[in-house]
Amino acid sequence: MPEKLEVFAPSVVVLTEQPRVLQPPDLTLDGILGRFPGLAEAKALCITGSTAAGWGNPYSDIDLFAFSDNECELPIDDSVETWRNEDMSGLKRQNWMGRYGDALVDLKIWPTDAPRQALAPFLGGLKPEMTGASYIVQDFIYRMSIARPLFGEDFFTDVRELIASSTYRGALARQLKMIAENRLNDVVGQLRAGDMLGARATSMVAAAHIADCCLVMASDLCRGEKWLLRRMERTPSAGIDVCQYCAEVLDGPRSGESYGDCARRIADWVRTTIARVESAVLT
Amino acid sequence: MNLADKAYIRTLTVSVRRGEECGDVTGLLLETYFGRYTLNRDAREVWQLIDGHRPVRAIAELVAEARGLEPDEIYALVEELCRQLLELELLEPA
Repeated sequence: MPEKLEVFAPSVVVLTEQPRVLQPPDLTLDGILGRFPGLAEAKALCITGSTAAGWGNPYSDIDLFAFSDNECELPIDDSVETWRNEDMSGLKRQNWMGRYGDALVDLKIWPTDAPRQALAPFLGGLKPEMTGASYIVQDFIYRMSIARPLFGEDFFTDVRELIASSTYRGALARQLKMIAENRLNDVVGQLRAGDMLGARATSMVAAAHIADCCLVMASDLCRGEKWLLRRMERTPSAGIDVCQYCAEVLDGPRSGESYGDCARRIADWVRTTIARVESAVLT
Repeated sequence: MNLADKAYIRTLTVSVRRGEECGDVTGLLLETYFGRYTLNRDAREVWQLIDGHRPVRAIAELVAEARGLEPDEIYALVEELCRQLLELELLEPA
């Protein structure tokens, strides 16, 4: 029997209580400027992310992007964290995260030349085979492509045109196709080695990458893995039906099908899809 | 409500961080979308035994055994903690 220790006294202390019901915040320009008066000095302001895409839920952050070459004064309270960071390409941003009503706002303030800076490797006749862009840059370009302007509409129109005229989309698609092909190569090796578990998992990774490639070719530049099916639903021109993808890839082995046969079937779907889009991707 | 024979599990919206984040190296920090809660060392011991299978009474027995106590000496404290965690929506019935 262990020796008796000191008194047993479990306790839970509430630092901040979670509201039982979350009221959606006021996302009009007036409402947002009421919380962030300093943003009125910015050149342009938009809502982006899942809220702009129409995919938000009660736990979604509200993503705001502001563009300013001057310091914007931002509110500070107990809910707020602020920090600055810089991507390896030199893309800088100021971050503010905190509460706005019953929502969390993720506000990023970028310099006004940030879109041109992010897209620089893909402008002026440059046509890299792969993107080489960091996740931050890729995510930034996507979020600009779906931005819902609050003010500075012309700024966002210009950015959308810049994205469309760049070679970014093709470079990203080629990169995704190459990853899918590499994973198919892994599947073959795993099957030959008798690694059916590895092959099954890897075939699904290959499928996700070629589906992403098709979506990017159809100008759906979203980088979030969790949105793959919503993207297929939003972008039928990518040619991948949600139900078909679920049946072929996500639903797993069919009745009587081994893991190895399941991996082969998914791999077949991937290479058929590659064959369908390859010519466009390599152009 | 008697919780003795019921099993509970953490809610899907809880993230658990080390107590250092809030100045208690022996405790835990529990976070939800907005909520922030601290558990002291004794509550942490209970929390880590809550697995969706063990009834509250079994958790009290395990803690008591580790502490060299009789289960009846601590059962009411374990049950009260679970009741509070349920009320705060940090736990739900398994």
